[in-house]
Amino acid sequence: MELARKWLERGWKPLIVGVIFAFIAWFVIGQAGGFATLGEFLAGAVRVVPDAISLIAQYYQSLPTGQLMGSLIIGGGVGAIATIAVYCGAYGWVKFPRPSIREVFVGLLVGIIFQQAGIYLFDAIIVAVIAMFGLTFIIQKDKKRLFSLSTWRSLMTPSVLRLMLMGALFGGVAGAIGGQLLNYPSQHCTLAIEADIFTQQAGLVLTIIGAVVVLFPFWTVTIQRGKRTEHGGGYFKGWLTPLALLTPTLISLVVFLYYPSVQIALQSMTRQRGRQDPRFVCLENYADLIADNVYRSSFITTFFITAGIVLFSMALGLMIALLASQKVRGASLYRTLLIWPYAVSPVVTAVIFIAIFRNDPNGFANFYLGGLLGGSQNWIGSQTLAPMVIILASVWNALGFNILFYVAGLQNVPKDLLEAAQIDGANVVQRFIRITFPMLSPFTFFLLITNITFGVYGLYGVVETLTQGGPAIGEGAGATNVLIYKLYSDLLSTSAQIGNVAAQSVILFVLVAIITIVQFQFVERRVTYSGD
Amino acid sequence: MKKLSILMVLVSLVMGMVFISSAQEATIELDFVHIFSDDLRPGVLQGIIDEYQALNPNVKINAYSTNADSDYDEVFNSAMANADLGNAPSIVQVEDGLTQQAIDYGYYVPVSDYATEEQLATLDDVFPSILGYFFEGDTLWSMPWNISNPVLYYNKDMFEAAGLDPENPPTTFAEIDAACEAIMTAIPELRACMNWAMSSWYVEQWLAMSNELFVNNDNGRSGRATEALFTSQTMLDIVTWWDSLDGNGYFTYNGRLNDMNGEGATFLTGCSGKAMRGGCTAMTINSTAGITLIQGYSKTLGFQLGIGRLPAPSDTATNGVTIGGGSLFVSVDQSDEEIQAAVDFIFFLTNTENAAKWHQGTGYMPIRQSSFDLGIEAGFYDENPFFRIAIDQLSETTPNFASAGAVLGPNTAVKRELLTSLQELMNGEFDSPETILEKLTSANERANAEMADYNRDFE
Repeated sequence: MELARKWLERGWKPLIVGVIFAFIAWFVIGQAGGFATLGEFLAGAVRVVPDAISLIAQYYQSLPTGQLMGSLIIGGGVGAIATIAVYCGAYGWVKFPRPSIREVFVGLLVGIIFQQAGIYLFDAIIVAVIAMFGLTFIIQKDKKRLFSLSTWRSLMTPSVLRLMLMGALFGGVAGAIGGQLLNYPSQHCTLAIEADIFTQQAGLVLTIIGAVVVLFPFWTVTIQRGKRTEHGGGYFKGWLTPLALLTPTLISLVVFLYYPSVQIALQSMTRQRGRQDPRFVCLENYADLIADNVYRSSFITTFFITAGIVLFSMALGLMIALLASQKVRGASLYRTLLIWPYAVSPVVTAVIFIAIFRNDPNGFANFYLGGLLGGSQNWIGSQTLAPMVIILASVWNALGFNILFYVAGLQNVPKDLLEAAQIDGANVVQRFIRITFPMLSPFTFFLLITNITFGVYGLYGVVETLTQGGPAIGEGAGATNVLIYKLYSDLLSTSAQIGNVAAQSVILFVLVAIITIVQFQFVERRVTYSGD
Repeated sequence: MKKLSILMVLVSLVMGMVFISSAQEATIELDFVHIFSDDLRPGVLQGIIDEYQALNPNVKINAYSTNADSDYDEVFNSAMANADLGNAPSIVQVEDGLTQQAIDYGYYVPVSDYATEEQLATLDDVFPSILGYFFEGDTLWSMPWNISNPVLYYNKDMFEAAGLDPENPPTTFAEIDAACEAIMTAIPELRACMNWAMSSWYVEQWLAMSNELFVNNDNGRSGRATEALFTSQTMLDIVTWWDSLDGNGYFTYNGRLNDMNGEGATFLTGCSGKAMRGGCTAMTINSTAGITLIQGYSKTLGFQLGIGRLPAPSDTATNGVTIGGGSLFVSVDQSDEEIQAAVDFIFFLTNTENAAKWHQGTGYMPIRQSSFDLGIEAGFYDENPFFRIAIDQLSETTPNFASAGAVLGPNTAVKRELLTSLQELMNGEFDSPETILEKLTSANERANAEMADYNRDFE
C-alpha cells in the first residue's frame, strides 16, 4: 500500500491509469471479438437508449391512472414526510428515538403475540414496529424529544420552515420517482385494484423501498450542502484515477452479481416450465410460497439449524482458540491442525459423518456409544437426531474458520491491559469477561455475520450427502429440508417451475440482507473497535 | 526470409482449417445419452451402433451415460440443461413416466414427423400395448426402446430350505404371506423375507392388475390428469398388505427412493454369517431389465435363481401388468439432416434383428412380435425360459385405461409425494388403518396440488 502510494506521488499516476484502462479495453475487446464488434456494441447501446425511452413512455401512457397515481402518491408522500423527518434529525431540531435492543425485543414479542392470535403476518409486523417505537417514545427522556411543546415551538422559525418546505417538495418529487424504481419492473401490478390483499401490501412495501433507495442519496447530497461540512477528505483529487481503480471491480460486480440478481428478481414474477415463454404473474410465486406448508416448515427448520450452527461453532471456536493461543511448545502446529477441517469440502465432511452416524450397529457412533447407552440409534433417519447430525457436521466444518479469526483476534488483545488487570487482582475469568471478550467484539461481530450466512447458504452439500432433506415429518415436509436445500432440489427436479425457484432465492437473499442490516444497526453499536 | 516463413505458416493454418471444416462436413455426429452405466448393456448397444456406423460411414454416434450411477431423472435434466447451453444431445432416453413432460417442454420433435413411410409401416409389428403408450393422437413422439415389466426373483435354495416348492413361486399377496412365514421360520438370519425398491412402479402395477386407475381422467389418457386416486379401496388394500408385510418384519428396503440396483444387490449378496448362499432376502421384485445381470451374479455367487410372474393382489386381479422402461426422443436443437439421421438410427436400433439382440442380451422386452418370433425359431427360449416371462405376462394384459398406465406431466413430483407417505408407513411397524388413510390422504392432496400447479402452465 505504501509502495503504491509512493508510486502515485512520484507522478506515475497517468501511466497507472492508462495501463488499467488499456487492460480493460484489451480484455473487453478480446472477449467481444475485435474493435468492429466493440464499435457495433457501443453503437447498439447508444441506439437502444431512445428505444428504451419511448418504450417507457408508451408503458406509462397505457398504464391505468389508478395504478400510476397510487405509486406516485405513495412514493411522493413517503418522500415528503421522510425528508422532513430526516432534516429534523440531521440538523438537530428534534431528537428522534432509537429503539434499544430491549425495546426491539418487546416489539417483537408483541408482534409474535399478535401473529399467534391469528392476525395476518403483515399487520403483526406493523403492530410490532409501532410497539417498538411507541415504547421508545414513552421511555425517552431528552430535551428535544418529539412530544414536547418547546420542540415544536423551536421549529416555527422562517428559516427552518423554508428548509422543511423545500425538503418536502423536492423529497416528494424524489420519492415519487423512486416509487417507480421497483414498480416499473413489476408493471405496477401490485397496485391494481383486482390484486389481492397480500399483493397490495407487498406493493406498498416495494414502493416505499424504491422511494427510499432514491431518497438516500438525495438526503446525503442536500444535507451535506446545507451543513457545508469538511468534505473532501479523500486521497484522490479529480475523478479519473479513482474511476480507473474502481472500474475492474465495478465491471465484474455488474456482470456477475447485479445483472444476474436483477434477472432473477424479474424471473421471480413469471411462470415458466421448459421452453415456454415466461408468463408474467405478478407476485403469485411469492403468494404460493407463503401458502406452502413445506416452505413454511423449511423456514422453521432453517432457523433452528442455523441458530445451532452459529451458537456452537462460535462458542467452540472461541474456546479452542483460547487454548490454541496458549504459549506451549509447538503451538503453531496445533493451530494449523485445528484449522484444517475448514479446508475439507462440505460433501467430504458429510461422507465422514455418514461413516460415523450410519444406521448400522457397526457404525462408528453406534459401535462406541452402543456400549455406553445400550442399543443403536438411527441417527440419520430420526426426526430429532438428523438435524443435530447436520449441525454437528457443519460446526465441525466451519470451526476452523472461527478458530482462525479468534486466534488472530487474541493476538491483538493488548498485553498491557491484561497485565494491569492482573496486578489489580482480576482473575482469569474476570480478565476474559472484562477485557478479552470485549476486545474481541469486532471479530465476534464479523464471525456472527459470516456464520449466519454460512448457516443459511452453505448447507446444501452436507444435507444432500447426509439426509437429502429427510426424514419426513408429515405433510411432505422434511426434518432437515432447509431453505437452501429446498431451493436446489426444486430447481433440479425434472418439472421445475423456474419462477418459483427464483422467488425462493429472492426471499433467501432478502432474509440474509435483513439479518445483516439488523445486526449492523443493533449489534455493531456494542462493538468496540480498538483505536489505531 | 522472415516474412516468407510467416506467410508459409499462415497458409498452412488456413489450409488446415479448410481441411478440418471439410472433414467435419462429411460426418454427422450424434450424441446419444442413456442411463446404462453397468458393464453389460452399453456393450450390447455399442455392438448395434458399430453395425450402423459400418452401414452409414458418414454418421458417428457417441453413446454415453451421464455418470457412474445415472438415472432417468438425471439424464432428463442434464439433457435439458445442455440443450439450454447450446449443446443438446441428439437422442435422449426418456423414462415412460416422463413422456408427457418431454412432450410438453418443447425440447423434442415427434419421431413420426421425420420417419419415412417404410419406417412407419414397420410399426404395425410393435406390440400394441407398448406402442399405445407413446402415441398422442396420431403422433408418435418417441420410439419405445428398452421396455420391461416387473417380475418376481427368488432364491430356490432358500425355498427348499423352508420346505416350499421351488418351482411354484407365490402368485398372490396371500401366498407371499404364507411363503414368508415359512422362510423366516426356517432362516431367521435373513434381514427380511422380501425386498423391493421404494418406487411407485409396483403400486401402479398392482392397481393395473386390479383394473383400478392411478389418476383420474382415465389415467390421464382422455384429458390431463387433475386428481390422484391414492385413497381408493384397492389402493388402501395394497398399502395395508404392504404395511403388514413390513410390520411382520418380512419386508425391507434400503431407505432410498427408486433404488432398483441397490435392491437387486440386497437380494444377491451381503448379510454375511447366514447358512444359505444368497443375499439378505429370499425374494425380490425387480424389472425384467435385470434378468441377465441377476442371472449372471446368481451363478457366480452359487445359488439357484428362480423367476416368476409378478404376484397379484388376489386371484381375481387378472387385468394384467403395464409396461415400464424408456423410449428415445430426438432433440429439436439440430439441423434437419441430423434429425433425419437420428430417426434413421432409432429405427435401425429397434428393427426386428436389433430388438431381438437387445432383448436377448439384456432381458428387456422385444418390442416387436417379429423379434419374439425370431427368438422362438432360434430356440432361444428353450435355453432361456426366464426371458419369456415378461412377454407372456404382457401378452395376457387386457387392453384398457387401467393397464395402459398413467400419463401425467409432473410425474416425478406426484410419485415422490406418494413415496414420502409410503416411506413413513414402511417403518418396520404395523400402522393403524386410520394412519394409513391419513398418510395416503395427505399424499393425495399434495399430489393434486402438484398437478394443479403444473396444469396451470399448460392450459
